[in-house]
Amino acid sequence: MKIYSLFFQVVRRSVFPAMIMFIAVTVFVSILVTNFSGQSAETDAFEISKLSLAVINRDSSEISEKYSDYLISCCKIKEIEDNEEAMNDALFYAQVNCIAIIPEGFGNAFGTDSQMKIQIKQRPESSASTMLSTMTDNYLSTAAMYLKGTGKIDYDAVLSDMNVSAESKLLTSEVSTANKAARLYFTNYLTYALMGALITCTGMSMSIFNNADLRRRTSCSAVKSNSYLLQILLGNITVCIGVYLMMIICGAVLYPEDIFSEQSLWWYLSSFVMAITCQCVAFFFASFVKSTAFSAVSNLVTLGCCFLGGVFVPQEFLSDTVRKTAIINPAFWYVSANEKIGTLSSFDLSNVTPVLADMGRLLLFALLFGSAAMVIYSKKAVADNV
Amino acid sequence: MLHVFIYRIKYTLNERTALFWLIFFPISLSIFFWLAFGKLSVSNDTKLDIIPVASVNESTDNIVLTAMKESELFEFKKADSEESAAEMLKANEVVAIADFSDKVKLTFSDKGLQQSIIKTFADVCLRTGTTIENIVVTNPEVLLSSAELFKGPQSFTESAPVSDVSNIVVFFYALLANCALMGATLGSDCVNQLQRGQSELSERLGAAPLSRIKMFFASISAALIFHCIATMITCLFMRYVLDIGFGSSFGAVVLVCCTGSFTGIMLGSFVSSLIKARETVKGAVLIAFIMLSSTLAGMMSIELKYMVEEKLPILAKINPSTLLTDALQSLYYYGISGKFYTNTLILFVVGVILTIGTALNIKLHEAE
Repeated sequence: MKIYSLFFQVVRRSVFPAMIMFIAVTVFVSILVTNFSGQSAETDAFEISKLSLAVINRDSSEISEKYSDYLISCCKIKEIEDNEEAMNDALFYAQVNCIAIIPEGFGNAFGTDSQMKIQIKQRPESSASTMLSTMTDNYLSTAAMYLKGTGKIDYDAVLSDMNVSAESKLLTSEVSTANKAARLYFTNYLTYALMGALITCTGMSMSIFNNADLRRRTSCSAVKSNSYLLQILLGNITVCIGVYLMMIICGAVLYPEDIFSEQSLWWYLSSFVMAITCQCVAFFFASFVKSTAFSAVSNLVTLGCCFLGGVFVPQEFLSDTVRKTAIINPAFWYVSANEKIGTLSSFDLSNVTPVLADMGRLLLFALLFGSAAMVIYSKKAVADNV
Repeated sequence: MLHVFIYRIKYTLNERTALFWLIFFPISLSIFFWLAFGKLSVSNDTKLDIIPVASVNESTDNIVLTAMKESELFEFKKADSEESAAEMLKANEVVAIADFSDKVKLTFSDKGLQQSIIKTFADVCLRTGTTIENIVVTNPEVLLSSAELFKGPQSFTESAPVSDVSNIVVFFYALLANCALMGATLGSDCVNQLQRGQSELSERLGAAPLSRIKMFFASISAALIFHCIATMITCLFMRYVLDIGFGSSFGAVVLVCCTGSFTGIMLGSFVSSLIKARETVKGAVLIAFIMLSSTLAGMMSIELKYMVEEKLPILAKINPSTLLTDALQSLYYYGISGKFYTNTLILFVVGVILTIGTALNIKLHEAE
């Protein structure tokens, strides 16, 4: 197995630093997102949670003061000056999610036909104003009902009514749900590490083995071409499994809860299928791309597949055109499988059939790219023998 | 020096790798962005899907059930028992179970947008009902006189106008920052060809009558001009083909992009002059740094950018990608302002520091 051991020497000397880069970026970003995100457990929830906001009260009425007090009790409040530049700075540097501006005369106009509105400023790419609008409308509507019904606002009753909520519970364990968003994010982000590391490793190592002189010398040696190809293939598969296991261990270290739950096992399976697919894609590119271009190809293919597959942008926000063309993007089906696994609480055959269908599509991609690579290599071997 | 300058330009124009990283790669990525974010930029009004809910113990006088059915937001699937409703929830046929035996009790299998909508809707119904009950207890005549009381929540808010700003431009600005920093490959190349022991070319250049420092500055000047033009091509592509806004002052955009190119090139030359290793290792380190820097500036996730600014502000202030992105963002949202000048100046100062560091390293190696 001389070729097999030589393969690892090549990987260790030439390729390892570049591979580690992709893995390190993935782990670093996952750590940042998990540990520093205040909404790491509810990235897609519309919960009225602890918003970070500023209140600019230009009115001195009782209703505006009570409304401000209510916001202080529910949200994280930051004091800022009442001028355009201070507000823009606070939003620009993400010190607050949004700003509520109570206009002068709000209290006097409250409950009348000339009702004034509270202005909400937010960063253009943020959706925090929706949460603030909901809270504001609920509180002020309740106050307006008391004013219309009884002629005065009973602020204690308004606060008491605001605490009324529907009884709710979760069917599954709270712990596994709380960390699920972060684990799903990491599992999806694995696409970047797997694809980038494997294309770089396979491409750069194969560029050495694809050297024409080396190929011709090997074909004159006692090593049969089938054995040669098999050992190279085995080397690539070993690297693929090694990278996969490294990422799984990183995930287990970052998110130690529920690492052996049924859901996590299904995620491991989908990641393994994706790793095989990425290896076959890497093998395909290695068969015809020159060595100097590999860094470029791996970045372009990896980022393109990740962006258009829903790794960085949720799939529901992708345009229809992208979704239609995603049938040729393996990352799309991988993310789709992961999202479906994330929604399941029971893993009966009938529930996991859509997940297995997505994994089947990934394996078809693997077969397609692997076959194309073998055809190219076979043609090269024939050309050498001629 | 002029000779070195001219031949550097010719060399760079023939270097396919440089052309790929500096022109083709950012344009391709900007097209991917534009395709990926297309739906986000079209409209902020997302049409909600009908939410399936399993209902147990339905009764005709339940106000929450009546309100939910009239809202047309929910599709109710009647379950015979709690067990069959739980089976439907586990099989993902419904998002929640609503038990209407006593007002409403909700059961979810997960947290998410649809679950939050159901919870919020139910909460609002219960609150409104409680408020009306409290009012009617003290003032029973309200039932006869004020039909408007039972209209439900009104709107008391409006969004402050932010004009026609797009919510996806930050991603393109982070990409432009990535493009500017990719000039590091040019800077690295300049230093690699001058450093002793890297190649036969560097040994030949060492024997030339021109000092390495002068050769370095001539090469860097050529690289800077080339890279500024490449960055402008990307910028113009984004502006006129993809219709990405850059604010009203394109001259300011040119200024900040050129400053970014300068800093990117000097970053590459500094790293190359510092690390004593093969070209491939230096290249890998630079690409890793640039991708990480761009990621932290929001190229892959805008939330990451704001997270870094909130939790690690010092990192945000020295990250070249973040400085460039912030300068472009402030230009777009607020026009030419103090923020724009501050970010551009810090970016320039970082570039100058890297230049001094590189020159000192080259001088040190020359003396050795």
